[in-house]
Amino acid sequence: MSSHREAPEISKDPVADSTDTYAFVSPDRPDTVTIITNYIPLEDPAGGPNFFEFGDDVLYRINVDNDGDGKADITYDFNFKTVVQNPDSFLYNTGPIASLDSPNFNRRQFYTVTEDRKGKRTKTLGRNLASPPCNVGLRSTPAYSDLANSAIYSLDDGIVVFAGQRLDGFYVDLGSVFDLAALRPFQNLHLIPTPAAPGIDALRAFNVHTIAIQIPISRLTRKGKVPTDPLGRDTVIGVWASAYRQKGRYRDEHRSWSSGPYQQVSRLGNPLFNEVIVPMGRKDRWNALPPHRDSEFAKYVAQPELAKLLPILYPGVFPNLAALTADRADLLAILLTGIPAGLIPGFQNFTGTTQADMLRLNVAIPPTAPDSVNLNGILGGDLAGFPNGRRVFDNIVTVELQAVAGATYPLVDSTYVPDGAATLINDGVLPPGNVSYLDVFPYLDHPVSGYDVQPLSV
Amino acid sequence: MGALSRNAAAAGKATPNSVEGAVAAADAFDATFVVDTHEPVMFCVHDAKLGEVSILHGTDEVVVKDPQLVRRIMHAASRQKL
Repeated sequence: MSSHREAPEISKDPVADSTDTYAFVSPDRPDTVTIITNYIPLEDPAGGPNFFEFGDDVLYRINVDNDGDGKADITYDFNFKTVVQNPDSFLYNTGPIASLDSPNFNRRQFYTVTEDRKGKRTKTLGRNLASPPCNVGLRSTPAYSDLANSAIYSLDDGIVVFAGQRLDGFYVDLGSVFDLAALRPFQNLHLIPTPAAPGIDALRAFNVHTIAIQIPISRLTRKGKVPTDPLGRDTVIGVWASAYRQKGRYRDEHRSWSSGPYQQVSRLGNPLFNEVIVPMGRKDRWNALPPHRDSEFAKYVAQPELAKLLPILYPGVFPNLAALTADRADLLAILLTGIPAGLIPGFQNFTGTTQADMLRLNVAIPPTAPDSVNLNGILGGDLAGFPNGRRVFDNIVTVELQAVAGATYPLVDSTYVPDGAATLINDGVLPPGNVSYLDVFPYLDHPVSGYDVQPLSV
Repeated sequence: MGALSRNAAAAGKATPNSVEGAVAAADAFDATFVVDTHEPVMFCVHDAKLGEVSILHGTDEVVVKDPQLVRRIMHAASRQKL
């Protein structure tokens, strides 16, 4: 999946496991950028009585690089604290939760959000901000959307935040993809063939925990301006999320505590980078490093394992890809440096020669009108979509499958002819299906409730 | 940035970089060095041969090079049975 359970160590630590990161110019407030990062993969909505929550002992961070060095110039930290109203009850709620301060809401989380700008003092943007409860069901959390919306906070300087449960906006046929890269619509062509079939969205009934922040563009760009020329200077910001735990942890039968400095345990810029590009033996290391160290992973981008597997798993379907042995300069640009000007008319998101896995968002490109959106982003001619940042609905699996299959290689070698299948393959999963989105902040839809979740039969 | 840079700075200032420094720090130990006795202090000896002990307190980490201290820790550890 995008980054759900993508590395051995972090897959055992879900509250610190970032699943997706998004960064896009807000469609309804185009003078702002919205950054979203999700945690806790595959939340079964019925997972009570201890429903899902952020980790009090995890430091959650959103990072922004505005000078291209792969190091954070601006960070937003989120620290959570859990408060139990009645420790003598086993219940998450003792009655309907009609408001964030309802006495029936037994286990609550509050958070502090701070902003650090390089060279300046830490600024506390908000304190004791409430997270909404998980969506339990119609009796416990009636009028859930109103309840959750009351946890959207407008802070000083035009910043808006939300932290709480959401429906996972990512869509992918996990069951098929991880079964030897089968793509159901094309599995009749697989090395182990079965009849072609529609894709199945494995995430259709799962929630995540979302941290979302909307920030004026002028607070994010290097010179504090709002650029309007996509090909101009200082138009691109790099964005990634990271999570940290303190180095030491002690437990005995009486107590548990953490001590020491914070150590990064998870990060996420481009979707699928650690999951599909970085090999198993190096995934945990990647999660512990900052983006500016990513040159050590560039060889896996230049010669991606998946590009070698596709011609083997789909015999005769990818002859041109099989013959392509040169380093994948297209993927190196898309994932590690940004796409320089001159390759795609009117577009660039190049941040310099530092190789760093970040979402690169050209903030001078306005949002695409809803009726003109192409889910395949730039691959589909929609310059406001992935890999120009990432919108909540972008079809990441298709875009990255097709890119790895060679569809983007002509950007750097006009003599290369992609295989016919390179621009067709997908996993057969598209919204709208069971996934839906909001038109307004925080854009990811309200979570499905435990009561409402349907059986996974197809 | 934030807590992370503060940690790094604090660790950098407090890190004795020699045996002499560690001994001096130990000799100078008094109440003014105790930042918060209510908080636990944890330590880790990654590699005894290096003679270094990593001390965790609050959000700080101090790496002390003190082969004698490490020897005492290792000796004590070898005597403790669960």
